[in-house]
Amino acid sequence: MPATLGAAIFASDPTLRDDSVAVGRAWYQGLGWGFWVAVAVAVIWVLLAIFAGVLPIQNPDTINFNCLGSGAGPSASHLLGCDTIGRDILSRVIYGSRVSLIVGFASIALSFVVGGPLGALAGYFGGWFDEVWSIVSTVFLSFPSLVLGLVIVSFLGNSEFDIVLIIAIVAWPLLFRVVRAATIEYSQREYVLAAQALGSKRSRILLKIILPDIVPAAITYSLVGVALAIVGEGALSFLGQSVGPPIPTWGNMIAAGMTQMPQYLNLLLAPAVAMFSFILAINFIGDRLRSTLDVREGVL
Amino acid sequence: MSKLVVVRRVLEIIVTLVLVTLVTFFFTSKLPGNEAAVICGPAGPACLAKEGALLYLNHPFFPRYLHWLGNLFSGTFGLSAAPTEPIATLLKQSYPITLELVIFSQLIAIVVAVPLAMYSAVRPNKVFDRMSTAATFATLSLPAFIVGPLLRYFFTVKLPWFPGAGSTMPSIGVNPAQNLYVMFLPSLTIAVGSIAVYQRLLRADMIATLEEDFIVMARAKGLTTWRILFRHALRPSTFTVMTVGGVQIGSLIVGAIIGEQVFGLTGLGYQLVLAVTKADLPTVQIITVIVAVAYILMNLIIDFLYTVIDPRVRRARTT
Repeated sequence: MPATLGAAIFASDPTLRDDSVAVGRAWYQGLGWGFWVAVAVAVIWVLLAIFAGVLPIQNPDTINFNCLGSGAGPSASHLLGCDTIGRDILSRVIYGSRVSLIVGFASIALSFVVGGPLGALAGYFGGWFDEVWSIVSTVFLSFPSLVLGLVIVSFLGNSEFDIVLIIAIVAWPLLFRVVRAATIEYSQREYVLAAQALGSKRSRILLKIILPDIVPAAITYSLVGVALAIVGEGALSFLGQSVGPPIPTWGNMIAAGMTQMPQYLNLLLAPAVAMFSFILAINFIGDRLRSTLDVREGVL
Repeated sequence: MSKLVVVRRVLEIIVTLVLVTLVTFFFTSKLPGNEAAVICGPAGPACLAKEGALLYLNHPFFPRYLHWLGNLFSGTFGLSAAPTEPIATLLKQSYPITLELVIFSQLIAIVVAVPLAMYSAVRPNKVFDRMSTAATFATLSLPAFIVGPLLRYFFTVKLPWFPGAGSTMPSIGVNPAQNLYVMFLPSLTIAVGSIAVYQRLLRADMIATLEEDFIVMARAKGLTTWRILFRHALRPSTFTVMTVGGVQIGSLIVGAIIGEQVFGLTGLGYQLVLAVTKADLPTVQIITVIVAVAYILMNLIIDFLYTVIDPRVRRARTT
C-alpha cells in the first residue's frame, strides 16, 4: 500500500514507474561505499575522543623513563613511540583529538546558532536589517581567517572556551552568507509566492515553508565548516596560541614533532596522520552530501 | 555597469575599510596589558608617561581610536615592543618576504596546476584524471602546517637538498638564485593548497569549454591540440579560477603565516605571531590593518581583472 498520494499515482501509472524508483529512493542511497568508510573514520575518532579516559592507554602526561633512554622510536609497549620527555605518542594523539573535536563542533554549532537565524531573517526581510548585517559580515570576512583569529586570541585568551568563541567569531559570517543566499533564492520560488497569495503570515512562510528547504544546505556547509574550524584550531595551536601545554592538541604536537627531534618522523607523522584522516573524512562526507542533496555550489 | 553601481561599490569599500580599522582597534586595545609598559620594558616611569601620552592611553576609546587612525594615515606607526624598533622599519624589512612568498607560491601553483588540469580535461574520467582529481581532493584536507613540516623533514633533514629553517637569505635583488633556493620550500608549502583548488576549477571549466563550437571550429581548421588548448581554450576557462582567486588570497596569507613560521622567514606573518606572543599591541594593530587592507584591495583588483579577461562580462557591465 503506497504511503502517499504521489506514490500511489506513480504506482498506478506504468509510464511513471521507472521514475518512481528514483523518487522513492531514500536520501542516503547512492552515496557509495567511500561515504560509509568516511563516516566510520569520523565516528571512530569521535568515539576515541569521548572514551579516551576508559581506553587501555596511558595518561598522556605520564613520563616513561624507559622510553627516554631507548630513543623515541615505536616499540611494543609504545606503539607510536614517545616524545622528547618520554610521553606516549599514541595516548597523546588520542587525547589530542579532544581539543580538535570539541573546538571544531562547538564553534560551528555556535556560529550556526548565531549566523543561521540572522541569515534567514536578513535574506527574507531584506531592508536595513539585511544591509547592516551584510556589512558586518563583510567586515569580518575582510580579515584573513588566521589573522583575525590571532588578533582575537590576544584579546580573549586561549582557554578551550576562548578558542571556541574565537573560531565562532571568525566562522559565523560564512554561515550567515550561506543561509542568507539560500533564503533569498528559495523565497522567490512559486510555492512561496503561492503561500503569500493565500495570505500566510510572513513568519509562517519563513519558518514552515522556506526553512525546511534551507536546513540541508546549511547543515552540509556546517560540516565543511567543522573541518575548517579544526584546521583553524590546528593552525593556532601550531603557532602556540591555542590551548596551552601540557594539554596535547594535534597542532601543538605537530609543532613539537617538527622542532624537537627532527630525526624521529613518528613524532610529526602521528598527529599529522590523525588530523589528516579526520579532516579528509569530514570533507568527503560533506562533498558526498552536497552532491546528493544537490546543494548549489557557490552560493557564497 | 552604471555610474550608480560604481559609486555604491566605492562607498562600500570605504565603509568596509573604516570598519576594519575599528574592529582591529577594538580587539587590540581593551586589554589588561599596558601598551606603554610593553614598549618600555624595564625602563622607568618617565618612559611610561611619555609613551602612554603618545598612545593616548588615558583617553576614552573613541578619541584614542581617532588618534590612532590619524597616525595610521600620516604613517606615524610608533614603536614596537622592547627591544624597541620603529614599526615602520619592521614592516619595510618583512613585507617583501611575504609578498615574494605569495607570488612565488602562485607561480609554482600555476605551473603545476595548469598542465594537470589540461591533461585531465582532455581525457576526462580516464585513469590520469581520476588519480589527479582524487589526489587534489586529498590535498584539500592537508593544511599548510602539515605540509610545511613534512617538506622540512624530507627535504632539509632526511635529504638535505634545500637549506634548513632559518637560513640566511639574500634579498632577491642581490642574489636571486640563492634567494629563490631558500624560498622554494616555503613557497611550495603554500602552493600545495592552491594547486588543488586551481586544478579542480580549471579542469571543470576546461571540460565545458572543450565542448564549445569554437573549439570544434579550431579543430576543423586543423590547428594542433597544443595550440587549441593554450590559445583557444585556456583563457575562457579561467573565469572561475579568477573569481575564486580573490577568495584564495585569504588562505594564501594564512599559508604565508604558517610557511614563515615553519621555515623561519621573518616576514609579516612571523612578525604578527611574534607580536601576539609578546602582547605587542601596536605592532599587532598595524600588521593586521595592513594585511586586511591589502586583502580588500586585492579582491577589488581581481574584480577589475575579471572584466579585462572576459570581454563578455565587460560588455554586460558597461551596458
